[in-house]
Amino acid sequence: MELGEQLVQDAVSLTRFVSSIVDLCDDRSSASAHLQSSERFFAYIKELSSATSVYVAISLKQKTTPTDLLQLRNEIGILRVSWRFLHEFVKSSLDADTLRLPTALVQAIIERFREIPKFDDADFVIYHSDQFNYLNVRLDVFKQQADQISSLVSGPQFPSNLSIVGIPYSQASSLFWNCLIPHELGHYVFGELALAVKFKKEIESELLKRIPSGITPQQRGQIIELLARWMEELFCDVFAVRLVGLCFSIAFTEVFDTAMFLEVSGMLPPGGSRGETEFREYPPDLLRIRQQARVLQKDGWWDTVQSLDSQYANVLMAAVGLKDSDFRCSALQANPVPVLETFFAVLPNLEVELEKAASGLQVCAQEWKDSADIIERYLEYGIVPSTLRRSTEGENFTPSPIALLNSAYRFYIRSMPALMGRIKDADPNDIEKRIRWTRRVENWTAKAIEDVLLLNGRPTK
Amino acid sequence: MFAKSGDSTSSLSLALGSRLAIKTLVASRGQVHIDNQVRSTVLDVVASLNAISMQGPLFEHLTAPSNFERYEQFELLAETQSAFHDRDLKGRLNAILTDTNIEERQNNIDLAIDFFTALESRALQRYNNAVNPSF
Repeated sequence: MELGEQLVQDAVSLTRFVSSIVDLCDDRSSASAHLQSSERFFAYIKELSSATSVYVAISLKQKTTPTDLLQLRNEIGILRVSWRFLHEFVKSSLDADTLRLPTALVQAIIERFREIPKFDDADFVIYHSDQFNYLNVRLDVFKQQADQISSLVSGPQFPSNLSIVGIPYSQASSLFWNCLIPHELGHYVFGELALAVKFKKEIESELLKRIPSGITPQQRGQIIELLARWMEELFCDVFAVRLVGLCFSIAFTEVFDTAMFLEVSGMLPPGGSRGETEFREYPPDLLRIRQQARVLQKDGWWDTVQSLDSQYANVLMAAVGLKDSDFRCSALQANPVPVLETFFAVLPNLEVELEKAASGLQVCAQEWKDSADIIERYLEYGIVPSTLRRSTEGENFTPSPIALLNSAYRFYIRSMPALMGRIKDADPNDIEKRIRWTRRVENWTAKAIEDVLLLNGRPTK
Repeated sequence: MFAKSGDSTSSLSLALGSRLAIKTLVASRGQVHIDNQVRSTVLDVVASLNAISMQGPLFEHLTAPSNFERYEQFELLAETQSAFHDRDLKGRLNAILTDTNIEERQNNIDLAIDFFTALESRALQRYNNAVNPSF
């Protein structure tokens, strides 16, 4: 087969593949609705698809020399790989329609995020992930790649303020565990503010002081990349705490079972023999909790932690007592001592960057404290807490979505027996019944958040 | 709790960056003057080649956006460079910006295209291995 004919076959193959992805956007059921951010994403994908098909068809007519045809073959090859990359996000975003998303919660978190002036027009596409994990497709990476693909085919630019967040498909209607979503918004911030480059420079400077020679630039690069990844995860954690408060840390300790490290006494065992203080690909959970606790203390949440009778609060309090020297990195091939010294030398800059990144965002602890007890009293009586009244004579007021979220989470971990005690045959020690009533608490809270967003003039779609 | 910007995506990003560099270089063939896009493409790769070959800082020169911001990308660059070790790669890339002899510059641009093609191919292979390890 001649080269020209081979190229025709390659072009047909690519165009068929692209269509197979994009046709899904057109074949949606009329009953399904998506967030506006998702609709923007689908529109972009369709436009890019058209640009890809047109570019390949025109190039095929224009390129005639063997050299040009070989270049076109390579372009078709990389376009195919690029569309395989995009493939991951189209169906999974289509799956995340508004009936299969905690829509009110997502909207509330995004609204809260937009209170940061520099991110006031940011938007997020949510997709369902098969993994049990929350994921952020970093805009600085995704947009760069999408725009590179577009540049090849003279297609559209990816919207500059649109990012993509994956949630486990199983959590489509959950409220509490989705309190982890703000961590993913932290990844967006980390990318937008180019904090990776900033931290890498700081890490490298500190590392060269401690290991000036004896390792290759490649080994040094590997260490820097690892430490920068640790910094990123920690940054996202503290950013999430600043954004939504204690509910993030409680969700973190619940989802990742960090309380299992506690002894019966509620303390952490000394020595870290079970690996709980080991850095691996990511920082140890206990360090992550310790850093979160620092922000909880700073932002005025700590008295709540101290008064909460729960294993989740206990692990937060226990982690605060950990010193930098308690942490290890046994898996590291290089000498871990100067590497960890480097890391802990840069770590204080995390909070410096947090303050800059979240500049303009009001800390929400006091606002929550002002309404927490009353929200929880409403929940205890099975009332949707959208419009509250402090006393029979008092005026009505609406709590913020973040206050609702934190109250509901605290209610879930300490007050379910109080709610169930008011209901006939609802034994709080019966797991099935407790799950059922927990789901109701989540539903009441989600409804309240939706009401509050509507009352504030922010529709949830 | 992950950012999807790890090994695989940075490899794809590098492959795409290389492909765009090739397009730019191909378009510059036969032109009398070197345009800014070719200049920044060449300067970016030369700065990164310098960074991996010296004992100084790897990341200090970074001013985003660059095709080489992550360790995996430096690693692919080093790997590709070693396949061109006998071709005075850095010198000839630099010469693209300074050559006044069009024929010599053309030869150097051809070398740059070969280099970026090799980089693109290696980056794509790494990406494919990472996302489809069982195929």
